[in-house]
Amino acid sequence: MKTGQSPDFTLLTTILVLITLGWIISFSASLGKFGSYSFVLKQSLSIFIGLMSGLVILNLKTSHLRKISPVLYLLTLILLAAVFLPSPIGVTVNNSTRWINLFVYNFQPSEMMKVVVILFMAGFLVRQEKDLKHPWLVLLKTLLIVGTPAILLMLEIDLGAAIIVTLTALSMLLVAGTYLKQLWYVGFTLFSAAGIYITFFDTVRKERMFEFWQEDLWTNSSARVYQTKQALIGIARGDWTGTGIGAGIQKYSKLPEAHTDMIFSVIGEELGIIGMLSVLFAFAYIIGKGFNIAKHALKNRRKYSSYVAFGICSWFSMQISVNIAMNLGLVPPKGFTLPLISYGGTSMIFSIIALAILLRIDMENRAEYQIQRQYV
Amino acid sequence: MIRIGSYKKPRVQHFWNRQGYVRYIFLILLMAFAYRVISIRTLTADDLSLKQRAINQSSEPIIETARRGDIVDRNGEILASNLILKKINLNPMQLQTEFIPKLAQSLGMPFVELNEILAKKRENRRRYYIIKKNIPLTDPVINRINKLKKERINVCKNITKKPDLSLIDKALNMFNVKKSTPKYTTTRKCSRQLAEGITIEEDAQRYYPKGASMAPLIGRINHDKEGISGIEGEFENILSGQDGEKHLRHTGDSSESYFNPVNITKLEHGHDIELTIDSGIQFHSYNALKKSVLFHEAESGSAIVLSTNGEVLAMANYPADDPNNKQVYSPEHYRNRVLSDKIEPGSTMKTFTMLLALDQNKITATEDELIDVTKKIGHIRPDKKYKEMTIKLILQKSHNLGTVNVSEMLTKEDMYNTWNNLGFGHPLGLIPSIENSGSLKHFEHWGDIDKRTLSYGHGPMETNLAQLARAYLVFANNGSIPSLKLINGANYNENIIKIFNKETIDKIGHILDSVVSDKGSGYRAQIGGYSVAGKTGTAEKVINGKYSKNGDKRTFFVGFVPAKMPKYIMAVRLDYPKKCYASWHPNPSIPCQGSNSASMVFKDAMEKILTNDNSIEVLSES
Repeated sequence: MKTGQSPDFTLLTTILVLITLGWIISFSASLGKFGSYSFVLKQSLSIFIGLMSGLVILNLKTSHLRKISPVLYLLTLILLAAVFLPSPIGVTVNNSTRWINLFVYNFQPSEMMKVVVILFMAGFLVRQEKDLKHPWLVLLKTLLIVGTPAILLMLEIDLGAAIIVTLTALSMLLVAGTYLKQLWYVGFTLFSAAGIYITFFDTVRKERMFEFWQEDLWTNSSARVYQTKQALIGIARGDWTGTGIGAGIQKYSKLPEAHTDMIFSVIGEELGIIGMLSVLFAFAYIIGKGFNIAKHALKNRRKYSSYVAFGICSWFSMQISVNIAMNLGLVPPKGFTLPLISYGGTSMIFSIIALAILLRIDMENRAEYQIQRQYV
Repeated sequence: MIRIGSYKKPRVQHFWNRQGYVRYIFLILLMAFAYRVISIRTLTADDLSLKQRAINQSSEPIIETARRGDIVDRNGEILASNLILKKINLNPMQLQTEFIPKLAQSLGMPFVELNEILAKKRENRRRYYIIKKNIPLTDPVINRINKLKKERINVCKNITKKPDLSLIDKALNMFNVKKSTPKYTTTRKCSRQLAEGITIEEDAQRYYPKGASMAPLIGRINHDKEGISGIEGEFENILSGQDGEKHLRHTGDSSESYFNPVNITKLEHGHDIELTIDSGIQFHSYNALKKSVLFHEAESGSAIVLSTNGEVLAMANYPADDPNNKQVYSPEHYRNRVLSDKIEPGSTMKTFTMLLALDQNKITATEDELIDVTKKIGHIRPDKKYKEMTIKLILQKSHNLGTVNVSEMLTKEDMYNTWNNLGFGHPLGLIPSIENSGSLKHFEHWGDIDKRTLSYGHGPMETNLAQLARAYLVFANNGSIPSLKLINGANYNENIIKIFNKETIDKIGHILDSVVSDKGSGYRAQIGGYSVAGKTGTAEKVINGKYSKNGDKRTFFVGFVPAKMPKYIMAVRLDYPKKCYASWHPNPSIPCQGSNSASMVFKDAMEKILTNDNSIEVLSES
């Protein structure tokens, strides 16, 4: 049923501006790096698919999403496992097996999982509302929901996605009203387990993490911090106004992953501090607005929508924070893309889909009471 | 019926506060990022601001090496120039070991040796190693290396590969249930490849076509291609030019950066320098000098030939090294003794005593004027040979007491002024950095003995050979002397100082003509067919201010041809010749003097110079 509302103009504009900016900057970065238009074309196709899917989502009731979310969840799990099928189906790049070969381009189920787990988790939380008083049971079930994809993701060597999925689910659990004590226990256990694992069994990663903060970045000649140094140098080169779009040089040979993980540094170089602040402001606006939408939905007693909106916002926030912190040299480099901006097909499509869901929830929020009653 | 307004907003359960907390955490985080974004521009890294680092990294300096200027003689003949050579540079880290035997063969060196060198370099992780340099373009090594670089041979490489773990193993491994230590598999991969890390680079070498004959004058350059002695050193700024430095902006493979380089310093090639030297005259002077130094077993020898207007036509020194031979270098053999040694010129100065006396009409220098040489003056005792002498005889026999007798008629001041005007003690400005301009003590500090010894070239003055030769220019310029010139086109003082009258010059010049005759001390300098004038000189070696007791002597000869209207003025100095003979044939040796050593160099060189000069008429044999 129609909501009788149109999407929030400012939010939609901000999203579209960011997508356009991302398209141009990743164009600049990938063209500089590879000297080929194939990346631009692929990205354009992804954006196109994303926008089309978004359009469909905008006209789709959230309740439908809730209904199909278990199916989507199962499907995504299957896809996640399917990457391990031998080539030509599974695709392995840089020792990570993350992609399914769709011939036109490689599909990355882990990106899909980030959205799907939110949709499924929200439904689960609503269904289990009463069980929230049995916190251990809920936690156990949550761990099951999150753990299955997380293990698959870790096998894919996509630790970033595993962490995002887990933390998103836990944050949703938090706002759904679970007891803080239990959540604290679980969180503590998870973190200490990870800590112990890293300290005792994965010394390589431990060294890598500690080395980053222990040694001064500029006296450390290790190849692992090279990317961070180059990102900072690029940002410094851009200064306030930047060198202008396309005039950056770090992307050519100095800065690895300029078009994906390090795109924020490229923005810093080509559009300067002003460009970076604008992007930060745009993201802050989207996130702030998104959290408001979640709150609004909760006020309208539409818990499912609220949880979904909240989940999307916290996923975005985490992904953006880690990526930007990495670009600004605050955390060691790790494979995190910047939503809406970085080059990457699946990630772009599902970012747009997620934001479309957010817009839809907002439209439903503003719908008349009679209509709204049908929503979840 | 729905009553509008009946809908009362439900109290939202308190958990929505939690949403708010999460939201603020992230918004604060984003604000922190905004602060960081602004502060990055002020970061410094290793005392270098990040911005500077960015600038340094964004441009690539390109150095364009300036071409060093040539040195040429007055006829344009090259005395120093640049040879284009090649050098072979290896990158031991890149070069595939399979290529080493072939490379050794191409370089013409034993495989074992090359292999050992490269292994050592690889151990030290060297990426730059010049295996061979100074290779002429015609060397077949160049062709062999070029051929090798086009050859493909089978190169094998061991590749270690991480094991493909099964999904279950991965899972078990992750949870530490089953620790499977990864077994790296090594596969050998072979492919036909081109050699890597062999480059032929341009190399420039300074080349001196005239070898040792010019070495002390021209000097040489060091490993950094900077002139370190002689003309090369003195005129380094002019010859070397300025290397150009350009900064190319990094814009990947775009050609734009090549069209818009930022010029830091402009490339300026070195300028050529043209000397007044005549290679032919230099060659003959050097050869004569070398022959004489070896024949007389002298320590060293030097000679200078001037043209009438003061241009240096030759400046020769022996011993000298061939500057093309980089294995030999002795600073002594690059010493330009003509300019850098100060000496007491001995009897060659008697000429000027006579010139001054005659100029002041103290003597007439006629055949009927007799000087009494029987009385001791100061410490100079009369010999038994002569009682009365004409001026001509004094000069012919180079008689000390006779000269002192004449000097007694002169005042200290007049002598000082004349010697001063002749340029003794004044810099010539030819190669200032190596020049020793000698000294002339002010007459107020002279004793009587100083005036007497000065009259025959000792005492309160020291000079270099070039100054001495220049003083003799009075004979070619009717009593005046021009400045000496070594570089064509350079600014030299054009003032010509008039010192003696023309009549005086003619008279003494005539007498000097007779010195170079069978009757005079310069008999060995006679050249058939030409009228030669000159004066011999001998000075005892001074050690710690005292004359050597071993009889070590410097011998001199200054002469000019033709005696009337001279065209060439040549001064020769031999240091401590040990064996002198009455003729060229090794008869029983006699004490060395200007007459029997230095004058022979003059004759030897000038004979050849004159033969090549058609402008001087040969006198009839009478």
